[in-house]
Amino acid sequence: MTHISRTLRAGAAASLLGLSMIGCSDFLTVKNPNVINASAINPVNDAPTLAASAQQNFAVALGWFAMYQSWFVGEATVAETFPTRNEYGRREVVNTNGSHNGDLWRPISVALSSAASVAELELPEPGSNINLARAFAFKGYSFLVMAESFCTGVARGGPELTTIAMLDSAVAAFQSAVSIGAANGTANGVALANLARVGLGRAHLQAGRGSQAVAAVQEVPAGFVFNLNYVDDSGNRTRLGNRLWQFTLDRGSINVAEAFRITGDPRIKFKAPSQHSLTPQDAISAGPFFIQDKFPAFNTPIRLASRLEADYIVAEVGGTAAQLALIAARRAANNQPVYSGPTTPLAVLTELMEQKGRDFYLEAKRMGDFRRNPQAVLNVPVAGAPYFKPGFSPIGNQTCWPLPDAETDNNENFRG
Amino acid sequence: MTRLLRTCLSPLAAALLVASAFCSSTAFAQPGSLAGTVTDVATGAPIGGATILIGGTTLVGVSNDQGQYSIANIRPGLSLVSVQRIGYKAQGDSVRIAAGERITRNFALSATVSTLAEVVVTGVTGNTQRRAQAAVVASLPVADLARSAPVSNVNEILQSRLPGVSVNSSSGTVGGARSIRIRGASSISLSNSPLIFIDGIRVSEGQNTPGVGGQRTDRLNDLNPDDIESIEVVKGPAAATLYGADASAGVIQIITKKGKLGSNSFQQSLRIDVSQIDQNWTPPDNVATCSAALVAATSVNPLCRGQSVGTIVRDNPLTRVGAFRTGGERNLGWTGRGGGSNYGYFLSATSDKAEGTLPNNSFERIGFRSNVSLVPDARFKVDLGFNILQSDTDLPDNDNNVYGWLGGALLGTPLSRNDTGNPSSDGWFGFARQFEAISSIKNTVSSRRAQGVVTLNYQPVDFFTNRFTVGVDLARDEIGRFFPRNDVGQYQGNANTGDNTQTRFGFDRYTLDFLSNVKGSYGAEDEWGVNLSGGLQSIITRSDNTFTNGFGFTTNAANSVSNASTRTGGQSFSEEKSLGYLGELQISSRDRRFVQLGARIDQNSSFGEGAPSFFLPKVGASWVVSEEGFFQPLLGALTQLRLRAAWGSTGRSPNPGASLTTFSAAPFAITASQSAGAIPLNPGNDSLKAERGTEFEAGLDASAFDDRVSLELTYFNKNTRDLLLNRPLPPSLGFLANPFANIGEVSNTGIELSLRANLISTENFDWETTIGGNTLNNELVSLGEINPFGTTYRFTEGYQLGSLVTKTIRSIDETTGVVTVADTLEVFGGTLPTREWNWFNTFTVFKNFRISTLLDSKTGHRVFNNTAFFRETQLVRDANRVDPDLLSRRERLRRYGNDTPGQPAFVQEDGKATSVNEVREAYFQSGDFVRLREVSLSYSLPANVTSRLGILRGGTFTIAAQNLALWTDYEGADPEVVSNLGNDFDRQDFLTLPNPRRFVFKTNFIF
Repeated sequence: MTHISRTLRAGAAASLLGLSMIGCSDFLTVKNPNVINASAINPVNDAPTLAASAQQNFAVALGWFAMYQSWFVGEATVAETFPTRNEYGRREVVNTNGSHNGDLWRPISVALSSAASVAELELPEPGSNINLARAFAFKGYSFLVMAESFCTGVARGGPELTTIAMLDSAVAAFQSAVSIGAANGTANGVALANLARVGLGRAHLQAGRGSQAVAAVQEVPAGFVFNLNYVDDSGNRTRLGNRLWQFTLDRGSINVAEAFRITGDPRIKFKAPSQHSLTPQDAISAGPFFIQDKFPAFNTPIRLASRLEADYIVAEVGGTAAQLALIAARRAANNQPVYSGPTTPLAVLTELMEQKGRDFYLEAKRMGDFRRNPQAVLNVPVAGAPYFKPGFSPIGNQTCWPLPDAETDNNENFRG
Repeated sequence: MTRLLRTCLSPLAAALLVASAFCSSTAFAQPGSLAGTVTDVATGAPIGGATILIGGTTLVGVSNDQGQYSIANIRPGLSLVSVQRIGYKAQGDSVRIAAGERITRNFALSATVSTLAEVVVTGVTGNTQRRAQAAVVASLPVADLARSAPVSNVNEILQSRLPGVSVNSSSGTVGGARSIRIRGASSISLSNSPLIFIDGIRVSEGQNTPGVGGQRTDRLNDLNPDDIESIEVVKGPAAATLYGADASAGVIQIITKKGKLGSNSFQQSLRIDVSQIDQNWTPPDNVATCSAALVAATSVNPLCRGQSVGTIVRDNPLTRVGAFRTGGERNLGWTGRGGGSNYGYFLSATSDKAEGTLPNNSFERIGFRSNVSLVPDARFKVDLGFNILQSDTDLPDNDNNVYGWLGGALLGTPLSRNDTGNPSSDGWFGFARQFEAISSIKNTVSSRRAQGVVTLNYQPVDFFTNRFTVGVDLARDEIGRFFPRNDVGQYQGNANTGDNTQTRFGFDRYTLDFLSNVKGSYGAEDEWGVNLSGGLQSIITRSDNTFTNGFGFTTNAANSVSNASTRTGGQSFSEEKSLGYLGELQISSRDRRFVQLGARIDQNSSFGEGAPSFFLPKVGASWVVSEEGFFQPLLGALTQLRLRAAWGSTGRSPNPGASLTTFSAAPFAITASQSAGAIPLNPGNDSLKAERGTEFEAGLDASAFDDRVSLELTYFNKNTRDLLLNRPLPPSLGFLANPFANIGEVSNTGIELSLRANLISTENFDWETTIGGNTLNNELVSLGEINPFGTTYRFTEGYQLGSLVTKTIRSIDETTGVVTVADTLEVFGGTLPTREWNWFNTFTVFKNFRISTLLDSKTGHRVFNNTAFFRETQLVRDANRVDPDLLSRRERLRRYGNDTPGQPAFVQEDGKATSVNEVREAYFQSGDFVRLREVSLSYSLPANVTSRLGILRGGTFTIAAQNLALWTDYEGADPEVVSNLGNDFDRQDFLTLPNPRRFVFKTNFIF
């Protein structure tokens, strides 16, 4: 009995001990400075930051699109070994391609989503708020680039969108940006409005609405250029640096295609192997390494919109005569002889596309041109032809890219 | 930590005082002492290392090499004495000692292969005898094993020795990490590596990398095998419940050597090991056919010049330049161990150095450990442990890495050979990136660690014990990666200007553990025994990571980042805390029927301050049937039989902040300058909770033929629910990270078997054999509403986690060349071995010669031979592709697809074309293998020799070899290599260095 009593007393002591430990719950509070808690962001007060961040998101995406499109439409060849990147050179992009999701779909989705979320904010003076103008403009460009590149699209977890649906969404966003930017009246506001006007024209053109495209760009002033800026910050190169230079310098991925190694035309800037010391990553299969010199530094901007693009839109819609006029002007401006080829509509349109291709080399515009005018855009890798690297299957016949499986597998709207 | 001590320990101290008040102490009369000798009953040889325990006290003694022991401070009266030693049947006796009396009591122990009398310390409370444990806690007697086996780190010790513990030797890199999985893989997004404890404190399980590809350094390599007495492995939730909501992948407890309390001895040992490491592999040739330009007389290519067009030429850059060297290892270790009547100590110092077979691969380790045990009186015991060490590892670039040795060599081509002396690829992959360029890259991981542990055992009365453990593991890593400046373009981009990345990683982990136990016995002849335990455990982890990079150096010697023309840096910090309360009730009947009921309540900072506690119950039973009266007529050859069953629950917690909705810092530069920006990172999940792992295991332990044969058989069924999964969001939602969600279920079932036998035991020849094995059926039972995901390693309901998927070939038409494949990715095979076995033999000849062999095997899994895939389909370098006569037409079609010009390589059943990137079944190859992992021959100096050598008490000489033979159908060099240790489910061989062969000469002298 004494034994039991002692056991009970000891047990009681142990229980007391355990109970005494309760009350340590605040002990679990920890520091976590690695992430920004969402509660620390005030969407209204921080709208300028969020809008500018959204613009940068698009700048990130555009760098990727300029590179991958260049391989797909023959501006450049793939000078590296990544199997996923060679699929672009072969026009055979599969939906499981990891680069396709990581380098293209996700960045353009982040750009679209971040711009759209700012555009939805209830900000003061919504009719002229510069942050809203910026958000709508880059929402529009995100839709536009998506529509030109992907066969179908998705916005913010929604249902699958056709090309026309994406272009219409771009149009709606651009119209808001034009309106708000113009009403804002500041230099930045006006620039954003003109940026959106060019985008609006480009979207209508891609949708086959020529007259609306021309109308959209009419007010874009002469000499207008809207550049996406980049900076040389070695700690933020994947976000703030010029992607085309990064993949020229660090990775040796972009080899200027033979058709674009045009000497004497200042628009195609490149360096022959003897003029530089860089090497392609795929040193053997890539062949002699002709590097692009249009974007020779991490801080070289990429032109997003311009009066020149507006001129091309007007000329393309305007027909043969208008196209010949712009061809003549562009040739003259760039030390090229007068056009002397055939003047059939297709031949002239082909020459217009050639001039446009030179003017906007590596600016992520040629894929839209190719999809719109497949007969007139030359030097795209030919379906069925052997790939220039041995061992690969022949070039495929894709004209646009599939949605990656990361989207279709995880988006509820794709569930059968 | 200070806060915890203030907040939680003040009540603890108060409670201890209360407890002491309840338990009035007794004033001792003059104590007595006990001494004696422990011997082998069969041979009469002394047994060292036997533990002699005085029941109801903290007093303990350890026999010295002469078998002698001594224990002082024993209270006058009747004391129960028990003697334990692994490999021998335990013995007990009662001794009556008068005040001031010194009693002599000798023990003669019988050898046994049965383990029921062993004591385990991991994951158990109260009665720690193995016979009382309902779940398996595996033990490995490292001190015995390390003397002769060719092992130099903990990973090698664990390799292929315990059923259910799967260690994968991931590469031939010296100082590299290995992956450890216990009873399969339970988690998709969280780590499947077990927790590591040393003497009761949780230490860093981390791996580090300077970014060399897929290989990493491993903190387990820091530990000196000389310091380890044994390793205990808690395999799953059934046994790991008391380790709380982070232990579902199992727990490995390393028990270091302690002093020899009561031995009145001092013993030193000196270990000198010398190894030779051979590459054990011939790299495959690069193969190509000569073009017209290269065969010309003016060609710079020495292989093609003068040949005819189309000539197949071969080159082997690694062999040509003699890149591999014979590596080696030199290990020095000293230990000092001894003790007096109420104290014991263990000291060790080690200096180990190894060089790998590649020029820039080495590993060095220097360490010092001291363990001191004090028994001031029969109620109080203090163990103090302190360990400092430094390891320095140089890792070579390899794996998926354009700067790697294997990548540089195996992806090169004979067509780029150049004998002009001008900078060129010259048969290597990268321009000017040959031997000198690759060997000049300097990757270093330098770790400094300090570990301290204090364990207080207080037993105010016989039936009430308290154990308080507090410990810390402090680790500081200096990680560097340097590309030297050069003028010939050896690297890419800015690296050619000299590029130095330096990372400083600080890791602190504190453990506080308290366990109190009350025991009693009741009824006639103490029929009923009760153990009631309660306590708490808290673990605090902090890590701080600071890094900087600079490029653009004037000279390579002055390469501190401050000297770089361009510099960047960054820093991160994280903190995690857990707090758990645990309790367990054990009831026994006649010391042969045992029931356990236990629970732990856990909280973890990862779930936020308001998250509810996590309740983890356990229940189990153990029944030594063979000791029941009704069983005696059935015994026959069977001498022992125990049945056991256990069910328990643990969890796994995510990283700190996992539940939060967060933004990512994302600067913008919409003008010429840059500013701070933010974009959505993670939508978060405020209802997050830990993964819940539950496990049922049941089995039996039996021994027969006078305990010369023993069998341990266990069935386990481990189930993980509320899987913490990075729920894949559609990228179109615009978040950069996928949030954790509790979704789905994973099941691991299998059988583990361990059969040990002393087959022959004669005076001059002894043969002990152990066969271990396990099966594993890993299955993703449910993914909730989530679709299968993953493109190479896919997570699909009904299949193994991370199974390899491909568009399976449906038909091959050798006439037309058309290869038809499935429309979608289909599971082709799992990557986790479904069967593993090992066979360990020890032959003792003429008492002093010992031969050991270890043969092991893993089967039932596949490995992605990405080296072959890349060399054959992405870059045409491999003879299989270049030489049309090596493979049959059917096999060429299977691997490369239709070769008819203009035709797609593969055609889906729906008529669409697809590429070889989605049809890779030829490269998802069987990873089955059998490996002769270890062979050793040891000779121990006989006693009559050592007795004539003065101070020398013993000596052992060992010749051993590791990885002597490999039998496999795998087409690559080594089916065990893993090219990306950072991904739990990546099971590819991609330009990874195969495991080397090692020959070791070991000497061990005892003074």
